[in-house]
Amino acid sequence: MDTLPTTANAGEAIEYATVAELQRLIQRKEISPVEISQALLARIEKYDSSLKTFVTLTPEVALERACETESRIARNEPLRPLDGIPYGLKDVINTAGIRTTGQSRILEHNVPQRDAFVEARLKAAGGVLLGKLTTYEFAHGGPSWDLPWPPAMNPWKKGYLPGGTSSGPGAAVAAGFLPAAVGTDTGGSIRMPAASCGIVGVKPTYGLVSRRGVLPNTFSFDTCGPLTRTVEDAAILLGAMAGYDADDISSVEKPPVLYTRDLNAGVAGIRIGWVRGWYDGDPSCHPDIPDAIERALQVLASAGAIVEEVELSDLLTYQDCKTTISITEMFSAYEHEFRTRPQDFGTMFRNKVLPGALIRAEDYFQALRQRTWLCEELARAFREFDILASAGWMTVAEPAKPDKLDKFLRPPNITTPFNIGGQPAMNIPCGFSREGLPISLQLAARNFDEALMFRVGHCYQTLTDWHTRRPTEGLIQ
Amino acid sequence: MTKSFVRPNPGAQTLAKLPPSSREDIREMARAAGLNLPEKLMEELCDAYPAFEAMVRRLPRARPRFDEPAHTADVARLASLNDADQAG
Repeated sequence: MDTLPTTANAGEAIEYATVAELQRLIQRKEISPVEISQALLARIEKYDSSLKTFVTLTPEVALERACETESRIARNEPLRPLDGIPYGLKDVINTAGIRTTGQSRILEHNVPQRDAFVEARLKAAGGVLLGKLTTYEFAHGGPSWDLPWPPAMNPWKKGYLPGGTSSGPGAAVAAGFLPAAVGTDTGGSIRMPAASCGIVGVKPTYGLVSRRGVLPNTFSFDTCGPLTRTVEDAAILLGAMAGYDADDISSVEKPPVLYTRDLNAGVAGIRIGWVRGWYDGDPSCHPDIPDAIERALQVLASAGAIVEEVELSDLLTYQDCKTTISITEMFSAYEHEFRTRPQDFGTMFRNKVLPGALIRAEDYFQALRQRTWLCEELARAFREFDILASAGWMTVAEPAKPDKLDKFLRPPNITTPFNIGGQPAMNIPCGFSREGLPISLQLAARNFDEALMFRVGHCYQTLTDWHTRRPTEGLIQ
Repeated sequence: MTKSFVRPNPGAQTLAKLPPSSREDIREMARAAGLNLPEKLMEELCDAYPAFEAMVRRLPRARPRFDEPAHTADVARLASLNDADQAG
């Protein structure tokens, strides 16, 4: 892929080039950042009327930033970590002068004056913003068909959803619109679309990436992280996003880490705890998933990892704790609007958050005390294991059913335990179901040990080719 | 052999056996919370709330008194925060 043509056909190769490949090509002056952005904007124009991954496209911003990188190259200035690299932001991340809606009628015309911390970091690193991406309303409770914008669709299969709530980021990266996007994850909202779309999705350690300027879902759990097609690209993006922010109360001051440094160090001797009981035997689990996860762990074992089965509390215990905390905090974040204009929320969001008004203070605090208990359980597991592994999601992508609104609680999320514990967790593609839909492996590491998680995920991707498969059937819905 | 990290929860007593709230109970709770909802939205809340009530009632209730909640107020951090506009 390092010999991309710079001809009229460049777009065909650019669309699935990785961040690492584009960096090398830009560095060698073999491709122009403007050409990259133009090729991707052309692809978006061709397919996004079907996939609906963008709420707001920003071609002027993209070309201005790409031109700035070209000027730096012309002046032989040193390149920044993301110079010329296109990306998109979930539309809950504030962008100065660019509409940020939360996919909600409540903020339909909201134009922030200040960038979110994470957007400021990506801009300073030379990234090229192509636009704001579809989500569920305020990153919760979708998909919804009664909002000002329709939900995104999955490029792998016509009429199927990409998962949520970072649905636009997941679908856009899988469709070759962008090599990278930034989403948010409060209970699995980066990892679920990564699983449904066959890409990599990373929830960093809580406190590693600032949430300042990101519309809140649950203050106690909200994180921002990258969605990419390779683990290496996720490591590059996270390196640009992470950093201490004195204005975010959750931000933790840590020395910077070069997440790409040890990617090729292999997995010999790494201890992996396999949480098989979370999904294998669960009636909601797709029948092809348990075998796919077992095969993925066999790959890592054959490379030298030590895999042992472990048992943790059941997912419902984690979910009850997390959701009690979430709906209480979320109602408090949007209480004024619930009291003054409740009809302006979508039905799904309203049904999943308004009950938070009736949670008593003692219920909320019992959930917080339960969280401490569950954090201790995870901490004990991570004292003996370097990585915990499970299925990335219980199901494959699901069909869109606008006439059958899911208004209530779903089966427990397999991603939620690591929001409770705060640990970094990542979904990576590890197979396909009988329907041709992606299956995903979840890997989690100790708090602030993203580097080890990336090392294990990268090792898996060097031994398999699931991440190189491309969707075609669902590009036109 | 599977290694278990699950401990018996000392506060495992729950409220799960309480009878579910009636629709009139839910309306009364909403009124007490100061929610002034149109009838259609009140009906939605009455439909949605029971699943959340069941969830909350599954939480352990009889914990040891010194079990801490999973949050702390870091007063040093709170004192150092800027008052920069974070609203947008």
